[in-house]
Amino acid sequence: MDGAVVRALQPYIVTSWHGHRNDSDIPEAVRRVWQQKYAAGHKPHPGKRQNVPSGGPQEQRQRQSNVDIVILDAEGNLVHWFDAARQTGRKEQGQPVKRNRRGKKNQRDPQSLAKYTAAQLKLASGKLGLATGRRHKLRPVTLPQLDGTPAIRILCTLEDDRMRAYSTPTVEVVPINTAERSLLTWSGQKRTVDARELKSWFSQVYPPGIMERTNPQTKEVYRIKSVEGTLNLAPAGHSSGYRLMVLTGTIGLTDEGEDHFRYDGRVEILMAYPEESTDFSAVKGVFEGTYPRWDRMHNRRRNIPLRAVFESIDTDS
Amino acid sequence: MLQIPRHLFAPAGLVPEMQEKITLGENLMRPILCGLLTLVTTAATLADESSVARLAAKYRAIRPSDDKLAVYRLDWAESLSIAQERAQSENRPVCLAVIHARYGDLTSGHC
Repeated sequence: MDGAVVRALQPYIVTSWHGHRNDSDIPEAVRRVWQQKYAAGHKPHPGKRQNVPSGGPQEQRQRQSNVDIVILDAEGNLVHWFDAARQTGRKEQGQPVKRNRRGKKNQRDPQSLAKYTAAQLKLASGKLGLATGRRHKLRPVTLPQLDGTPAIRILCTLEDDRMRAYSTPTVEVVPINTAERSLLTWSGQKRTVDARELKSWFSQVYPPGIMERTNPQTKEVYRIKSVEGTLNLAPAGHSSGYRLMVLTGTIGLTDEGEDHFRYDGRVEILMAYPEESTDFSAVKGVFEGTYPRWDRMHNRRRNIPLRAVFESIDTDS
Repeated sequence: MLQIPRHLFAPAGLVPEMQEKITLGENLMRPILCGLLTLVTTAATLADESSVARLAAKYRAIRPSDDKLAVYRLDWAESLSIAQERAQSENRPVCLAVIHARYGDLTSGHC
């Protein structure tokens, strides 16, 4: 997320809602925004690419995305809204058309999208009487956790240089259960561990875009159905009064799709055990794999790096 | 019988530094084996330290920076109703991202 947008959003309480126009429980603010958005004259032009602005009488038929940003005041009144991608790639008057390396017009310029979003938020802040010129102090990064429950946090990144949004990390948190603690108890001897026993950790390693692999009927993202692999768990010395063990090996992840789509990667996870306990008290680890993605334009498979880290959230980690 | 350079196992300063080879009897085997074990353990410890340090470095390299995690600098509320309750009590505005889709979770990054 762009720094200017993050700063502009500091005074706000931020949340999200997703749904369809025929849902029965659409919040009033969303209903009002969609009434305006889908009113006559604002519909996308049928049969035409939505991201190409048209001129003349069709001028109002501008590009629409499926994400809207809605600003409400403290009483819940609708103050401002805008389509999150409406102005992306539009040429400013008098400015040269930006082209990519292949000479095609840039339809999605992330910088122009960030500028557009920041400008819209500035407009909203002005309507709310917030001090728009002030540089808002940034909050610290606060990652999700499970209140009071020891957990594993998984931060995953698909490093696809063609899909900038995909490089934004996902952050998932899963509780550590008794069986996992028991599976990974300290021992001075090497042993093997079935990766299936850690499915709740490893099944969070998948790309951020829910459209990447979805059920065509339900539109729901395919979850990881199975995790395979034999991992080696071995003592790895001491550090700062803790005994260490390392869990290493290759795992395969298969999702629920009927085509048995699978990707693989290597995991290396370090665990620390207090001298007086056989239960681990801290975990830090990595997943390094490749995610096969079909490139329809070039009719070939691309292997995209998929990386993740695992880290424990514990009172002692 | 094991033949071994004396200076490798002697405490510094107690034995003249020379490459004299000696023949070792049964009574000397135990300390020598202990010494070998220490060497092996030290080598294993160094290997452990190296692999632990390498793994720690890899974790730091792969873990997204705070810049990449900037979305977690925002003051997120779990739902619109919670956001609106807080907005009233804290007298603050709400920024609502509306996604025209059946699934997705902006706070986890899946959208």
